[in-house]
Amino acid sequence: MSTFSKDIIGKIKKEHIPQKSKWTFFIKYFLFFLVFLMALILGALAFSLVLFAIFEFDFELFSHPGVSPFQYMLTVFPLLWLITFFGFFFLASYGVKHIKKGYKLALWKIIGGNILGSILLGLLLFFFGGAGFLDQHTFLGEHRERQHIKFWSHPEQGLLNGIVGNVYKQEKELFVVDSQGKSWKIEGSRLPNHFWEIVADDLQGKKVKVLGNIIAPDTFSAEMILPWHRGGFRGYRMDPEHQEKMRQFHETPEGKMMQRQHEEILKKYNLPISRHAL
Amino acid sequence: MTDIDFSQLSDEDLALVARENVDAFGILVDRYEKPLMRYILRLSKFSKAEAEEILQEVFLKAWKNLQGFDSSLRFGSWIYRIAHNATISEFRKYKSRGGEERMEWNDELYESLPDSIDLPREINEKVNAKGVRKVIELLPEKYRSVLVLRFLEEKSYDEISDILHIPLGTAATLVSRAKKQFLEKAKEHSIHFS
Repeated sequence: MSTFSKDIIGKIKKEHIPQKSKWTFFIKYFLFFLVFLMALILGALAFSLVLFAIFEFDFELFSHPGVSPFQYMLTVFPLLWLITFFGFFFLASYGVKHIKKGYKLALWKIIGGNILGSILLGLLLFFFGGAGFLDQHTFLGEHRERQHIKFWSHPEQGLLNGIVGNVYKQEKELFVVDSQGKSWKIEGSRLPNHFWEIVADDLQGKKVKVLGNIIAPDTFSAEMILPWHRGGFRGYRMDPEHQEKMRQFHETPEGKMMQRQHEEILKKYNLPISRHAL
Repeated sequence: MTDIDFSQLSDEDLALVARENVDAFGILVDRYEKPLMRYILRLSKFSKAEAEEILQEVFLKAWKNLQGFDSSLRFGSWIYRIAHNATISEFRKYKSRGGEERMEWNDELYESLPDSIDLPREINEKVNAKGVRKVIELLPEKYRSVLVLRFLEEKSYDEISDILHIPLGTAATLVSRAKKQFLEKAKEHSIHFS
């Protein structure tokens, strides 16, 4: 042994310099792996929410003269989720770099692998309904929903949203209570026949988007009536706040009058009174 | 077990034994004392005494972290990495104190380098170790490190990858860029290889 190594060994022995436990290293690698795994999963989740939001886009609006596609995209584009996705993507890449031999991986492999992993997991979440569930049943969808409602709350610009009350097929009319609690008579003579023949039967109580224009103070002429969610008129989330506003509307003299009118019409045509009626 | 028994073991096996036996670690210190000392001097502008202090720190750190040594890797790469990080860290502290300006070219340091430097041959087939060292010192840290490891320490790309914790391809690219930079700097400072 050289003098130098004797000095080193002597110092270790004399000062009883301990070695770090192997668990310290195991835990370190495990934590980095956990960071990578969680970031990958959360990135996938963010990506699936981006997909969900994109599938919720109202592309029909782009042909509507009153709507600027740019303004629409600015309001509803899921930028927050996209940034979140990239944030988790970078975190996952950081995790990979620090797991055992992770540094051996080329940058393009880390980027490609993480993006592919997040996208594949995200697609699975999206197609198996996980993204839709999270968007509609947790706080994760609140921002998107708020933006969506905000965009569709401009009747003066031909954009109306609300829950369908009474439907009068023969008259091609229906009533909608909007998110502010205001009741609108929707005049639907411009809507295609199949709407009145098929869709209108199952419309009561459903949340819809109505594209058209105001023709009288409380009357809106519909050019298009769309389900609130892309999934169709089934499986939507009924906003509890909106539901409460509807209930309050039913208590008003106007609501009660509408209820009476509805029942009179049903009696006139000898139809059963619907349990969903206002 | 005696020293002789230990000396027959490979570095990696010795490192595993050294987890339980400090004397086995002494053999590793013996084996790596000179190469690491040379590496620290080549990488930095420290004096021999300063480099010795760093070297001591390197071996103590290696001892403390021995349980974390992955025996699927080369022990040499592992301890070179510790030496690399310690040297760079100390060198940065030194530079932040304005040390670079005060540092003079140290001929004694240069003389302590072995004669087997063949970097010039690798680069332009001319031999002038003093000139090489001068030019290497002008290079940015990342290029200096790869050139020293590749041509002075004669490490493979795989070992460089393990020492610097960079992908294999990146190691090769860095060496190639460093060679170009080396020639540019030599030209820029009118350093000619005879």
